[in-house]
Amino acid sequence: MNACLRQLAALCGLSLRELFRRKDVWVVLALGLLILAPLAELKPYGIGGASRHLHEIALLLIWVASAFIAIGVAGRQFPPEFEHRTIHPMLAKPASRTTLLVGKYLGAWSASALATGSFYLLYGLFAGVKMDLWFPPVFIQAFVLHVGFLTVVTAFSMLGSFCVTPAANLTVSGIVVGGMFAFGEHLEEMTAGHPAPIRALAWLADAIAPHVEFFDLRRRVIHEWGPVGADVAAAVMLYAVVYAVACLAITGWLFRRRTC
Amino acid sequence: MLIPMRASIQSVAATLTLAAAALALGQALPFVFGGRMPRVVGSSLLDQLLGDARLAVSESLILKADEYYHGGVRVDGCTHADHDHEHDHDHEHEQEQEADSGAHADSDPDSEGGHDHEAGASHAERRRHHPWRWINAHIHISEHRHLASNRSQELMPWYWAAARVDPGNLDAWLLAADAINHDLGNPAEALRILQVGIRHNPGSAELELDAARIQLNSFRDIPAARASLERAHTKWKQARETGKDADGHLKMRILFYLCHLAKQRDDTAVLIRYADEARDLGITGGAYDAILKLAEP
Repeated sequence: MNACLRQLAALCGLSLRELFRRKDVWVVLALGLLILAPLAELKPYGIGGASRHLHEIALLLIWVASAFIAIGVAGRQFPPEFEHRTIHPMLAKPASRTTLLVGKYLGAWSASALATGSFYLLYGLFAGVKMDLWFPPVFIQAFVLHVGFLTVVTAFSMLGSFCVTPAANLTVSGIVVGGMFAFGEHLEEMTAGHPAPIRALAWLADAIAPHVEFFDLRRRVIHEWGPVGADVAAAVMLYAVVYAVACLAITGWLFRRRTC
Repeated sequence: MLIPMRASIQSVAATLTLAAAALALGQALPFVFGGRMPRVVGSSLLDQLLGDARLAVSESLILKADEYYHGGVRVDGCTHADHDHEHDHDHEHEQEQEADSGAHADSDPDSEGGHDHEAGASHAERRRHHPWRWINAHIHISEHRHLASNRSQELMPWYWAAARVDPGNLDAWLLAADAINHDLGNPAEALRILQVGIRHNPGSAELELDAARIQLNSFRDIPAARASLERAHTKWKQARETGKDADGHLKMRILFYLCHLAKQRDDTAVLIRYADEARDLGITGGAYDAILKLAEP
């Protein structure tokens, strides 16, 4: 048991080190600073006090950056190991395929969550200093649900890395996540007047594609609507866990069938 | 040793010569070819980047401001522009009531009346039973609420950006001035914005009318208001003559204020002339009734 935990911790540590070695986080932070600092000083028509547009831009940057990091980090976990044949020594150690898969997944998830957490922390400090808004409950809830989003997206991208090439996985995962983010809520209404095959496809997408729009509390944060009820938040987190476990189960099955 | 140094000096000299030639050409071409240059003189970077798409981008920024006005929710059939017009109508109604006493009052900027945004029962029923719809209904806001008037500064970045992207978008100037005047209580800044808008849109009667209303109601500057209204009147007629879309209701509003000022200075001949013009528009009710009341002996 201890050996298994040590192996998981080592795999997580590897993912974290890889994330910070690649400098993605620093680029995002610098970009955010470059965009937000001048905007914070902007007083249109000499009227100050507007803050919602800053919240909107900051949260959009956080969402785009975290999705990009999560898909990238999770999608990069296995393909290089197969390509460089380093998967053999890893499996030759007393580490099962399940441990390796769970360790890699937890590594990708924790690296994405840590990067997103650091974005939220900096954004929270910025909002506190600039707008005197110190970490309201809806902000905390938005972060928690965002971690749920990462749970789903990392599992989905890891599954994709076993199905298609790394570049195709990055593209397909990006399109699916972006598409569901934009249209996931309205799939049924959008295809209502279309022929049956299109409606069937929409129904299938509605049933199996990751409903990442469940985790988006930006509007509530920006426009001060307050947090959602605990039952809704719990249902969304349960969805995230079930979806991630389902993706990992399929990934595990593909991994076991794959000849290294 | 000498050969590489000479080569590097030559390459530096060649680069500097080319850079100087490019700079000289860049400066000389607009003088030589004048108006025949492909880029219009004075056009901005946004013109170059967006071209005719500027208006579409500008209008989407106005829609974004409307979304902010409704707490982040896109509500069809209820816009901040509608509320701007509510200000106008309320104001004309008040003018109608107060024309006899000569007093002026601004309307309540936080009016929420006259809207019905209830969702269909079957749609709500579907949302309740489907787990995905149930989650989305709770996560994503769909209620209808308006931004409190003292938070209208939140709309300003979007109106400002809309005017910057396309200065020809009248709504960007009108809505910004309206929010600053009515909600934030800064008529001087609102008037300044309208004057900048007029500089960008010299043919706009609507901007002149709004400027006149501020001059009249906030500053009691009757000569300036009258001058603005007369310019608005002329511009409306010019727009009609040049075949542009000239809104009859806009002219009716202009004529109402002109009649009101004519009544104040007991200029019956002018009052009757404007009342006749109002009758010729063939629009009844609202401002026309108020004009008839003013024209009564």
